[in-house]
Amino acid sequence: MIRRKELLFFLMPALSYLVIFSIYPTVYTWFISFRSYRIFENKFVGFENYIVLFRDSVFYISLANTLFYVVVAVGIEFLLGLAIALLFNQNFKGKSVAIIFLMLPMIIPPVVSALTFLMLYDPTLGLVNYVIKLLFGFSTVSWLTEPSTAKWAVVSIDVWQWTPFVALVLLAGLQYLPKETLEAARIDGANSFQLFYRITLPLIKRVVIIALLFRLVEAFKAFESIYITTKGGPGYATRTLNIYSYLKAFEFLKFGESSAMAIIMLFVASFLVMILIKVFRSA
Amino acid sequence: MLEPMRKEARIAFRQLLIYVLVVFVILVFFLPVYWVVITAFKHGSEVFEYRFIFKPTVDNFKSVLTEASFRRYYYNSLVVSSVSTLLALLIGFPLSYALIRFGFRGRENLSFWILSLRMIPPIVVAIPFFLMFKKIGFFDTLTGLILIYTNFNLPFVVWILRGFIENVPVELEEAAMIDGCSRWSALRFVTVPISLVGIVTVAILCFIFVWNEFLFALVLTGVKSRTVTVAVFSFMGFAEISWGLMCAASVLASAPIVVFGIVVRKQLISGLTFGALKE
Repeated sequence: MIRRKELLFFLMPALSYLVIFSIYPTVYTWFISFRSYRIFENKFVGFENYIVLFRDSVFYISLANTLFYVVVAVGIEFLLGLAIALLFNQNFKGKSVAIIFLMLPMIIPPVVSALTFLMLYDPTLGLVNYVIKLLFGFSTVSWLTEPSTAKWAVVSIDVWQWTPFVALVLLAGLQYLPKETLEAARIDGANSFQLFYRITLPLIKRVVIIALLFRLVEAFKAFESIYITTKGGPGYATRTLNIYSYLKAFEFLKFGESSAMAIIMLFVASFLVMILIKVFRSA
Repeated sequence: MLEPMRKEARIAFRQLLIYVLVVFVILVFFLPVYWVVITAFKHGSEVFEYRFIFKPTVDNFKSVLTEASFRRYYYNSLVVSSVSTLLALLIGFPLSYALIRFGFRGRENLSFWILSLRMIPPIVVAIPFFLMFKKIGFFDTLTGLILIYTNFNLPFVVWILRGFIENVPVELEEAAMIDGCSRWSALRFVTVPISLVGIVTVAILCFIFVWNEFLFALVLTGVKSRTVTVAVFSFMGFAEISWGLMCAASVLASAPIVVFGIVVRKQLISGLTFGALKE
């Protein structure tokens, strides 16, 4: 049927590109993770980098911070996104313009949104403190430099930027709902809550899972929002695995340890992606 | 008499409530953007005043744009984004086509393997690229960035194009080939023109991804090949942040892709979910 040569001709350019630029560097990172790759030293050390990591308390703090960031950000994005999706599923004039406004945070460069929040949270000129002062009359908090508030401040950037994504994905799901089923249930006497919980939610389950998984994968490697606003500080308050791995490599020049951490991240990401692919396949 | 009026009032109230909530939602998501835009138009000292009404000035834009380095970074972003997008399309299209049209074994697995490549955390490959590029002289070059971004977009291109190629009736291609076209010219004169809207959409989305990318650009560039996102970030000086300038730079950096984003808004969500949701 198809000639093997022709098939190879179609497949080879892209496949060889992906092998050279995705697979080779990943293997290379794996390889570096077993070496003491520093400025003046580069030799095989076996699992030492991994052992150093597992003894490093900052590694565990970063792990916990990553978990906090991912779970809290994606959780809030889901709840807010669902509410907005339900709202935008109603009929109202000017919906398409409203959607454009809603989309802005996810289109503008993440660097710009990070800098925006750096400005909004600024203790002297930030709009956030100004609004709080107007409403409640008390003085300023330095949101990004207090460990307790910085955690939430960086999460809020993610929430601001990506809630629209979740909302629009869920909205797309809501629009596929069979109107007749909803009508029938309403006639049978279901109230709004039952309608939502028993019919809408199960029907958009796949869309919900896709939105959540995509956000989980992305939030796991969030970089700009944290690096630009806090650099992982104050102390270790907002240091996630991604940030820690970056700092280890490009500030402390400990490429071996950083690679070991990157490989651990790769495993976690692969696990998430495996679930994602399962969901894709079930379609 | 009373019943229908009550019902009408209830509907009106419901409608009003919807509008109030929609306006509130838009304010929350738009206000930060708006604040950046108006700050970009403020005089130096006005930045520290919470005023919505003031005499706008374009001084910030002028000083950002007269700075030769910013123009250069802007140009870098344009080149890197468009060339890597073009390359990814050129390399990705044949693979995508083969995945749809050639019934070879394992193509389903191949598709998902390609998808998973896109999900590799950038930091995993940033380290080896940094070390290799330093060694072979690709560090701080546009070529280096273009090569990486092409790879970054390739899985996306392949996945999204699949959907568009699938929609081209295979009979049309077969008819062209019976009429004496080679497979390549059938592709060129039948498949590509029919899926052109799809290809342009994919191109715009790739352009946005590359334009917005930060980590690779930060790690792999110095002063020469810096892109505009890194340039905006570098407006954060050591002593004090010049907010007016930074906001003007931010507006300039966002402008082209906001326009692009609005153009492809219908396909944006299906694009960002790799076609898991069709429009």
